[in-house]
Amino acid sequence: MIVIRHLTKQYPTHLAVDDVSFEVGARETLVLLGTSGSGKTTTLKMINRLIEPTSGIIEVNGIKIGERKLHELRREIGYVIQETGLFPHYTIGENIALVPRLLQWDERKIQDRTRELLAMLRLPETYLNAYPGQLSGGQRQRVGLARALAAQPAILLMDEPLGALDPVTRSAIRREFRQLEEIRKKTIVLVTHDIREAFELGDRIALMDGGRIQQIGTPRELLLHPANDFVRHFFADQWLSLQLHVFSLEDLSPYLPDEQTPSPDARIFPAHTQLADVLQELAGPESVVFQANHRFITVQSATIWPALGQLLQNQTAS
Amino acid sequence: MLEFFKFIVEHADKLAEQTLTHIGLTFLSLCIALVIGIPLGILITLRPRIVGVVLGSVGVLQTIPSIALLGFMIPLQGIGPGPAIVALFLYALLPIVQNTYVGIREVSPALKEAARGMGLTRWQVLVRLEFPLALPVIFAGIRTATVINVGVATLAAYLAAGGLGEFIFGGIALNDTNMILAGTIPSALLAILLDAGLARLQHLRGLGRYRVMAVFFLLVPVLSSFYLVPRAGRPKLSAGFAHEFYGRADGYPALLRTYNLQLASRLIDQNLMYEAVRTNLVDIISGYSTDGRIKAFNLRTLTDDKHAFPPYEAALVVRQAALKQHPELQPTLDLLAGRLSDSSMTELNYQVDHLHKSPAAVARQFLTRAGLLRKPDGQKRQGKIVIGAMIFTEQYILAEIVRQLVENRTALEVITRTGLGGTKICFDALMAGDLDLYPEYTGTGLLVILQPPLAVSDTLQVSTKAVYQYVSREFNRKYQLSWQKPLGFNNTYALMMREGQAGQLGIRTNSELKLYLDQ
Repeated sequence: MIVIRHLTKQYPTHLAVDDVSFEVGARETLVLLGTSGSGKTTTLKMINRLIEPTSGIIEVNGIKIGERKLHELRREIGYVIQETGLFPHYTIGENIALVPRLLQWDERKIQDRTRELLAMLRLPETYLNAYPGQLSGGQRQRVGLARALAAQPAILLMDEPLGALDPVTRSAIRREFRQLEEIRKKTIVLVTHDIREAFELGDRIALMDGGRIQQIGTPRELLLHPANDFVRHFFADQWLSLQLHVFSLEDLSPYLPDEQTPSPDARIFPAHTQLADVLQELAGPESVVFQANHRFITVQSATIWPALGQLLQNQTAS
Repeated sequence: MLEFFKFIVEHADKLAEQTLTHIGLTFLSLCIALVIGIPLGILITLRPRIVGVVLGSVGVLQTIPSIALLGFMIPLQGIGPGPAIVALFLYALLPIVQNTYVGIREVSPALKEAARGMGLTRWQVLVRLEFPLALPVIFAGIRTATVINVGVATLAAYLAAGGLGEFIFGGIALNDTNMILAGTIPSALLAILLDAGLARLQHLRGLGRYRVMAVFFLLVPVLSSFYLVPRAGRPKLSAGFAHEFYGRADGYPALLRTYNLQLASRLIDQNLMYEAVRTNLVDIISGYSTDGRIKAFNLRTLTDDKHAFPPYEAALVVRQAALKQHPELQPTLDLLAGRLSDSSMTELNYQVDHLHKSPAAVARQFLTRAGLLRKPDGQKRQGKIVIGAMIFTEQYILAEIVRQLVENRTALEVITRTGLGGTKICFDALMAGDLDLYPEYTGTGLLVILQPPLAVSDTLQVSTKAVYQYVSREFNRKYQLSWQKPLGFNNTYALMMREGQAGQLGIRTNSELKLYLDQ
């Protein structure tokens, strides 16, 4: 969907993006991760031409973006920024309908689409005539997402979309986003400085520093096989908790005992569920059952940690 | 205080008309400033290079004192509502341009980028985002401009454009506090009300705000049209009166009393009055019957057939002592009796005022034509007299005529003291013996010096002759001053019209004017 080759942005004072290349496949979420000044936002904004590159090529759907009409290109790409991006003088309904109106959709279709999005993002319809200032930060962020999704773009660009929210709301909204079918179908480039966000939302992560991509790969690759010291140090702080995001129940199965007859009150999870999500659900001593290799396996929070210990030992050894 | 309310009640019609005109002037200029200022403010947000130049030049306009700006307008654009509105517009421009620029600049860059990122064109970003969000700031500018304009619009009266300034200027000219207050208080109230109203608009929040602001924008042209309201129902002819004429008992009130002549009038500076009638701004003015501009601008002086205005016959006032001391003086001065008429005096004034000839040359020409000069006999000068003259053209000419005639006909040496402030100064100098004679007007002698009871002056006023006889007798008795025989012209108030229009309508007298207006 998106192909970037040797992208460079030179400002009079500094080099913001230095020879960056990557591809984003259809329905894939690529996270551009880095500290401020790493060039991640500049890279993102060059994709919808808010910033013009000094050199390099960007193709969207096989066409160089420089050859597209600017406004048409942008209307085909959903753009989500922090909740401050909503028009304060537009109602929620008007904010969501912004791009469909620019595209001159039929008014009935706009109304239907707006209601559909509100329902999907679990916002009451009474909010349609409210103004952004009357909503909470989390609600505003959902409206921001609805606005970007309104015209059904195939591609979403998200620039620190949750940056203005408190940590609890952030993780709640992240979970909601991941569960939305409509979002899973999109090709997404997401910019963040939050490592956990990157691990939770990214199919692949491009870790940037000093305008260059230090490493690009799946979360597991970055965590277990860092390409250089920078990458290793970057994750060092949260190394342990990040494991919970890169391993699923299935990864854990070899180190857990079989269970032929699951207890009747046990909850059944799919095997690919991330350990972090499992732990979220296990508040007490209940057990979780999942199916792997045609057998049922039971796990409790008490048994996850020893199994994970063995897994890690194995990983490092190999 | 009571007198003030009495004045308000008496002039309620005039005051209502002035207030409407005032609102009209304020909003008409504001309307133009909005139409030009807002696009200009938007333009400079798009062209950062010209920001300095534009804001700089608009700012410089603001620093010109308002009375001076109006003064510049007269040579550039003449008088009337046009120049006044241009001047007001220039004052309203800075707050509007500046606040539009600042309001748009202050819209959060993140928001603008979000809008662009979603595919809004530059124009759409402006119309849908920047302008609506800048509106409260723009409104603050409109509020400032409106309040400034209400104040500056009082000066429009100076350009004969009407408004509440008419009473302010009139009150200053007549030293009438009530009149000044009658103009000042309504204009201050107007400013306070508009300021408070616009402040409420500016601070409105939520849904209603944009609708109310839209209503305001639609309201501006409506309020502008107030300027036309007093004109819509006006009589066939409009008048422009000097402040002094409007306020003095022997001016407009006398006209009302005698002819019941109701005129839609505007108060104008007396020097601009003639210009106003010439340029069709008004049809009738209250002029002075021997002013040079009557001839220059081809005006017709209407005959005061019912004697509303007191006569102001010109004659020389001489100390009796001087006449005794120089017996040859009396026959010489007698030669001038009845030598001048209203039209010939007007002609002389015209020659000095408009053809820029010197009073001496004009006086010599007059005496020569009248055949009053003899061949100089070259005799030696013996004795001297001093002639005074007040500070206007006519007096300079008269003083010159007397000087040249006396020096030609007698051996007396003549000294002229011209440019004296007014009747009172001349009279006092005469009494003190510093002057021997000066040209005076019977009406002034009556009303300023003698000041008889109203009943006496009212009965006298009907007859030119009676006034002359009365002042002549009283001056002789009280002050030992002798009024010479009248020079023959009467420099009094007179209504004047353009010759063309008056001829077409067949109006020659005040009664005929009244008749025409009543038709």
